[in-house]
Amino acid sequence: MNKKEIFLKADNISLIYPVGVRANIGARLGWLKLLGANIPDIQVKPKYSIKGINLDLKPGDRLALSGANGAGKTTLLKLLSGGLPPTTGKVEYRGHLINMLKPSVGINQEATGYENILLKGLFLNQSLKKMRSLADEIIEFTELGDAIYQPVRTYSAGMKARLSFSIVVFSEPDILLLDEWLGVSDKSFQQKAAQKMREFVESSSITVLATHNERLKDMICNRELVLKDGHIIEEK
Amino acid sequence: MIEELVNSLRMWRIWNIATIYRIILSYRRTLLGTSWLMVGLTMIVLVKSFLFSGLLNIPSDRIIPNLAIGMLLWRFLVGIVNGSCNAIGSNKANFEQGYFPIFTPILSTIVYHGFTFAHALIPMVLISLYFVIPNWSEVWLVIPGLMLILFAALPIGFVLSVFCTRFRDLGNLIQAVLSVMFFVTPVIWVPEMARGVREWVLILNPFYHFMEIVRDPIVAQPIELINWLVALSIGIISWLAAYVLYTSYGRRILIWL
Repeated sequence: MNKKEIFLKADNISLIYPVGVRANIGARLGWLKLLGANIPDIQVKPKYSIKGINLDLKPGDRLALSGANGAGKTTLLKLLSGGLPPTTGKVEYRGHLINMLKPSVGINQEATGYENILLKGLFLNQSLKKMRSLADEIIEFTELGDAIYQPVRTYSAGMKARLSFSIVVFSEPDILLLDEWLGVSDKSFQQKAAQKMREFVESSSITVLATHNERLKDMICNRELVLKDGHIIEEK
Repeated sequence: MIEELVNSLRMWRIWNIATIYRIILSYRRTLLGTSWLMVGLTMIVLVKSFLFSGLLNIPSDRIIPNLAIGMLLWRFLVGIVNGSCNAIGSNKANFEQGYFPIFTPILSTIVYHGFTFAHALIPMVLISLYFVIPNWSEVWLVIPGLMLILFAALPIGFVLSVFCTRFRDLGNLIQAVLSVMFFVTPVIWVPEMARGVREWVLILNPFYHFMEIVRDPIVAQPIELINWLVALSIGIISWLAAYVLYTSYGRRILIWL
């Protein structure tokens, strides 16, 4: 695909979530009432999580989403990726889009590290052929050595993080959505991971990064949206 | 809905390769893996055959093939129904990661239970063949019978999955109903035993019709047109229900995950 054809657009999108729990029905809270707890009868009512957001991102755009916790950053990423359908408005994109909410999704504990490279690739919408061709590079990057042929359940937490991080950063998205910066806690691997992560972001045409980290925003992004209660309060 | 369906079929790598891999992984660190289902089913069929042929006074060449193929199909049908109830809910992480076509987990469920069905197929058919030789001119009906089950499984799985995601009690209710349905479906007894009002219970039982369209040709029983008509009607109605549900709610059901 021609890089110029890549885009990500949101046309006046809103998301209404049903929130609240009916305390007057069901066993969930009813038994607490029996014990004398004072729980009001809350009605399930719709609440705007995201309200009237417009976006038009083109190749070269690196957008930061900022705002306090609960402002709607992660929800907006889910809407942009198609993970959640907007209640009103529409999202359109062209290009291979990857939303990096949790790199560990799709990792099978019983399968070996090598098998997971292939399996996780399927969930990243890559072909087996492509993942096989990338496998040697990924294995070398993980520094897992022969452990790559052992089941993942035998790995330490650090080894698991290295594996899932490495599989993800070797995928080649045109549009990359990130909920906080990806990294690994393993100290010996941190620097290498940070360098690879920068290359990974630079290789995508469009990046949307939800973060609280001011330094990261300045370093990576060229646009910023500040969210509050699900709508844009500032655009930089 | 057509677009969503096509997108789901395009994800064949997930509902096919990843599901087959799930079965392959079940063999790790075990002697028989998923084949234990075949062992368990064979044992159940042999013990129940011994018990019920005597208790119900039914000739062995009628009850044992009925039981062998019946248990195999019952597990297949119930596996799809139960699996579909959790299909969307258990894929929350995949749905949150980005656009994940909504029929993909249902297809995975059907493929998974299709493979477990295939695991136990040979021993059950051999048990049946030992007692009764099918009418060879009718055996081919097994193929359209299985196709009809698969035709209905996708929309039924989708409808169940959506309702079970929205109403969390429904999965438990369905499990409770299924345990009763086993006894009103002719698995451990034969359909000709149902008389009077019991015959209506049989006719109103969808599992009976889906079971008979595959079982009758194998166990040399007369092919009943009503079984085919009801199964086909359920399939068509299920597609209409799935269409109405999808066009009314679409992917908005994911909000309830």
